[in-house]
Amino acid sequence: MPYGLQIFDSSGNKTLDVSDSLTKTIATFVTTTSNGSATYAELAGGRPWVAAYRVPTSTATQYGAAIVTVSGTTVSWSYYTLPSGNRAPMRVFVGIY
Amino acid sequence: MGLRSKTAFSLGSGGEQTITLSGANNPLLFISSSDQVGVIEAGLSGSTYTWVIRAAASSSGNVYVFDDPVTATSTYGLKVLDSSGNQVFNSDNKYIRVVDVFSCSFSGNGFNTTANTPTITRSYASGNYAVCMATPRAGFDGFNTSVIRTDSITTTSTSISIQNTITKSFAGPWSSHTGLLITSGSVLAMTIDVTGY
Repeated sequence: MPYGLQIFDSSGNKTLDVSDSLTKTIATFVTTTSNGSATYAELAGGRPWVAAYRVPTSTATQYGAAIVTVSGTTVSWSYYTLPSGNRAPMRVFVGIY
Repeated sequence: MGLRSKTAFSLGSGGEQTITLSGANNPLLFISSSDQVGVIEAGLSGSTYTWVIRAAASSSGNVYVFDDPVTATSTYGLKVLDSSGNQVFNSDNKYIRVVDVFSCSFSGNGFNTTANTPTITRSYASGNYAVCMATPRAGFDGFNTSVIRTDSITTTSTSISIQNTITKSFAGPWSSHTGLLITSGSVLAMTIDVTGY
């Protein structure tokens, strides 16, 4: 690395190089059990990343997870053909990297 | 996001280990594994998150959990603030270093088998890697069975692979499971560099 910035820990391990791609969290939220979407203008500022997990405190009958997708600045979630009583709310992470 | 915990594991085929993180806000779990390890259960009590990892083969490795970055505690290092005085970077943290984000397809209306949930392999330059499934591709192992099938992660110094090879007889309750995907589509996965972490 002839120029730039690197950061090392006290053991000499490199923990950051300015060429690394870091994440920026834009939002976290919990979905309802209906299909829906949310718009975040900040998603235009980088490459999008979304993760979604069934809320761990969901009830015993809420076994089905939603599929969460991102297109442009819109995050959408859908339970498709799942019966409403079997849909688990999802904790969604929205970010860019 | 900053590294909050690193937990080593060594499991035989079918072995499980519980990972916990207290005081967590928005944790993401990454796995570095010599052979087929994934998350089979997840729970939350108060602000303490619990995950159960399970191995589909004898395996060793590490689980990395990242959460909101810590604020500065050291009297040395590098800290960057925004115009409002909010910390946006602190060298006390070990941040997520993204190597790759990619899609993993699946089909079968929740009745997952290895035939309709393909193995994904990605190759990289030499390093130490860990993977997070944005949503595990979990489903029944066949029609209306009591067996759950979900994704496992294998990492080497030059590649990662995701296989739908973890199975477990499931007696309930569903409240501890990661959630079944009852449709067709794709989910994201993220590979990160954990060299030196």
